[in-house]
Amino acid sequence: MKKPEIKNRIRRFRFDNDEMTQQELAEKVGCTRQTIVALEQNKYVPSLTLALKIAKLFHTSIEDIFEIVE
Amino acid sequence: MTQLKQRAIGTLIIWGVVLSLFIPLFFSYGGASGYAMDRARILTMAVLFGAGYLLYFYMLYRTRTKDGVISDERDDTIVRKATGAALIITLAYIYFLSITLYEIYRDPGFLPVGWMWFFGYSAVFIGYISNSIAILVMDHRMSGHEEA
Repeated sequence: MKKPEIKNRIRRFRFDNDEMTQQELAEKVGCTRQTIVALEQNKYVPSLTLALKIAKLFHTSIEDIFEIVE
Repeated sequence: MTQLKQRAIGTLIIWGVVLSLFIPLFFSYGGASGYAMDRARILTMAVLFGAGYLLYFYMLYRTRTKDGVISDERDDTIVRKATGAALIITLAYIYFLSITLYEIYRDPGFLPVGWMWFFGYSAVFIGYISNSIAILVMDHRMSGHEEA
């Protein structure tokens, strides 16, 4: 069975929020910039905790940021 | 570069150098049998091993960071996967080395005791080196191209 891919719109949300930098986002959600870089390029799937922190920061739901691509 | 990656590279260099010095030191002048009876070589290797650990702890000290987030859940995931991979590699190494030595020394019926030194040291080196390589591979897989 093929593993479903998780895609996200973090980059879009960053730019919609005063062009927040990757470093700023990383500091606000408590991770490294490298993790944000990896997330935006769909190289890493975040934990539920980190996904919730990102969604909360952008005042939206997880579903608006992350989606499963079958 | 993350602290995890810096330390993986440092560990790989330190133990890679120690291993590359250990191999010729062990196999020169009579191999395992000669090594066990040569106190100078046993002492040299012990000093080399100690120096390796001193350098290793110095590298950990130099790469420590007090400010900002230095490790996060992605690093934890990389370490978890790399540790699992390194364990399998080290176990496989010990298994294949044991079987190889068994096949070589089956007819004589005894094993030169010097091989125990080789087992001990090389298992440590393989453990550290395989863990570092696994961290670098996992880090590469879970990394994107950074923006300028």
